[in-house]
Amino acid sequence: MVREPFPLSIDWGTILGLPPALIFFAGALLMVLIRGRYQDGARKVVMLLTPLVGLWNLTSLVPGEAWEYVIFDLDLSLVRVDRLSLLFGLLFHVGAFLGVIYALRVKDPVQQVAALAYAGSALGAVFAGDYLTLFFFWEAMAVSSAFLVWAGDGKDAAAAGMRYLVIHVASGLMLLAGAMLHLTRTGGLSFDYVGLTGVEGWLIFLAFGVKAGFPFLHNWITDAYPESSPTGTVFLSMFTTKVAIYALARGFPGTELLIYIGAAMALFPIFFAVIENDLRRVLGYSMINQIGFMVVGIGIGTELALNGAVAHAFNEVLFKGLLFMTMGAVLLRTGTAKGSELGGLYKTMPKTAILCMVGAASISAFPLFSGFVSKAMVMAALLEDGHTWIWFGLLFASAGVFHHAGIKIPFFAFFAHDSGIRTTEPPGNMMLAMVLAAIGCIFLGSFPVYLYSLLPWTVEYTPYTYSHVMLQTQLLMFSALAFIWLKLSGIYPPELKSVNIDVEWLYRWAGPRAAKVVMNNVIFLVTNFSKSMREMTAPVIDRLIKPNGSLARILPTGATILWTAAILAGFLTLYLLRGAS
Amino acid sequence: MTTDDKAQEETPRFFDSPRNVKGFLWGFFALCIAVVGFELFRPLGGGAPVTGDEADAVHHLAERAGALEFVGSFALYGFVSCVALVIMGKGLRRLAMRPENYYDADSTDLDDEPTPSDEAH
Repeated sequence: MVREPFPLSIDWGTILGLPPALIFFAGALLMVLIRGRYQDGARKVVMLLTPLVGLWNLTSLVPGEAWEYVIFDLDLSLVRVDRLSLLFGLLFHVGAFLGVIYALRVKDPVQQVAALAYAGSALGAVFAGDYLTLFFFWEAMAVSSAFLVWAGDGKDAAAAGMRYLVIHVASGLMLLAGAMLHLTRTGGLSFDYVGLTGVEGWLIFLAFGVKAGFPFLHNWITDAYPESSPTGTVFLSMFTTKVAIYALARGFPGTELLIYIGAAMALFPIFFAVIENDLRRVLGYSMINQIGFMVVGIGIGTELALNGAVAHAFNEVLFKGLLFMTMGAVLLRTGTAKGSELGGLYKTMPKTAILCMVGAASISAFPLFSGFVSKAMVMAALLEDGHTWIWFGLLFASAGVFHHAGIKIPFFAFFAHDSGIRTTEPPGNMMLAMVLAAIGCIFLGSFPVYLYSLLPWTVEYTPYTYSHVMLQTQLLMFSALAFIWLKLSGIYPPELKSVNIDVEWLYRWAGPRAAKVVMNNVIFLVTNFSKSMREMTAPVIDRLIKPNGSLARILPTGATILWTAAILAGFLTLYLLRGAS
Repeated sequence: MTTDDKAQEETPRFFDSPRNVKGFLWGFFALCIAVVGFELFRPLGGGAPVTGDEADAVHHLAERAGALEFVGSFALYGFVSCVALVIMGKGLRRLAMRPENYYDADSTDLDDEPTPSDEAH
């Protein structure tokens, strides 16, 4: 890692930095405590100030610092400051601030508290220096973000939130089990390079993989994110998967398996995205696709690749946040985010349409937009490392992401056939959040040197070369040309009211049916078994409990004490036997 | 505010006119041709980037990938990729598409189904 100081660090003299999570938890607690006539206004102030105070605190953290504590003879580290944790720390503060502005009109205190606690947990996780601290924030993230899923309407959101929570708690349990095995093997809990060694390595790898959305473990993203409220999804899109990328970059850099996992993640979602009707779910699939690029970068493990992976995570929070914000604005104003119901919104939401296209250009990696300067680092690293076939695959995925996220989303929401919906632009605070995110996308894309100066490893990469700009533009323009040709010739599949089954089919359709069949048979067996047992044992029990039966007699106190002691002795014997083994 | 009458009353907007749509498309086609044209006029030195950078993905392409050396190769790759993507997507739709209430409808059916233990009583 680079030795130079983080560009944001300021020497405040005697002022010591606090754990970043603490500030957000304090903010969340304040939100709970605020009551009275001016509670709405006061809560808004707290919401806005929390990330700003956090950002100020962040500048006082210097790489190399740590907050260490001891529990049960275990050396733990609440805060570990280095350039990697600082980069994600900065990112989460920026993301939380944009999200808070976007959600400023939300008056539901549950969502407000959950959002701050969620951002705080994500910060806690990226600064955690040991597995136990990481586990605590890992689970805190799961619980607080589940409340954001439940902020969506109706029973669909309730059910999706429950599935989301179960999956994330399971991920936490795998992390805990992996950490405990790690402890017994190494005697320590410090969270550094793990690698795929032993059962603990695989458990931790899978725990991170669930949160990163590895293939077959990805479905919670596309299940839960579209069910949340317009504002809730914006927060959800910013933290969980990025914490997973951080954790993979910390624990598994250079793990070759990640190259193939990442390539699969970049490729398979684009097919689902093309046929999906719910535009927020399309964004969910495109999120898995983008994380795929980052996972590939971590798998390669060179400095260029790792820098590319974390830089792309940084950019994705802004452009995916922006895209979810524009779709949230559409959902808020029209009541739907389904491609089959929308169209022609550019007439009444022109500013939102333009902001959506900025996000679309950024995710598609158009020159001058943020995706261009980070995704290309991973692509370049692939060629440097000799993975030509994976490079071809990801080039296909790059064209594909432009096709579904760059063209499909703006086209079906704002153009296409006129749905007849006439509405208005979203409220000022939402507009401001979108404009700030869009400025961020253009700024980072046009002046990449600022982003590069934040990266943890040495950066030797020039994105703006004649051939890179020209060939990337060719790729994207002709992808768009293909879209136009397919649309004009009628080959392009229309947006249809539908759902597409994915891995979730196993636990939403097949699983419940199988369980039902099994349970019915078990109940049948148990019922019959207990019936016959009852018939057999009835005379014996009858004899025991009838008047003067051995269980109906009144025992003297001494006998009761004797029995109690016998039971206690039994427990102690069991305990001793356990200790001896 | 969401009626079709309202949409018919208002003044036509830019993309309401087929002429504008046509003009937009022709402009786009021209840009596509221009983008490929730029590749012909790349600076002297064949594929060498202007600032000459070892890590430039595209610069490495000629040596490592080989297949995408000719003019317009990226354009072709983008076009073919997207056509293939959509055609495969249509195939996936045949396998994966279900009615919108697929999961809801099934969950109610589940409770109504007669069960072996029901029959046993």
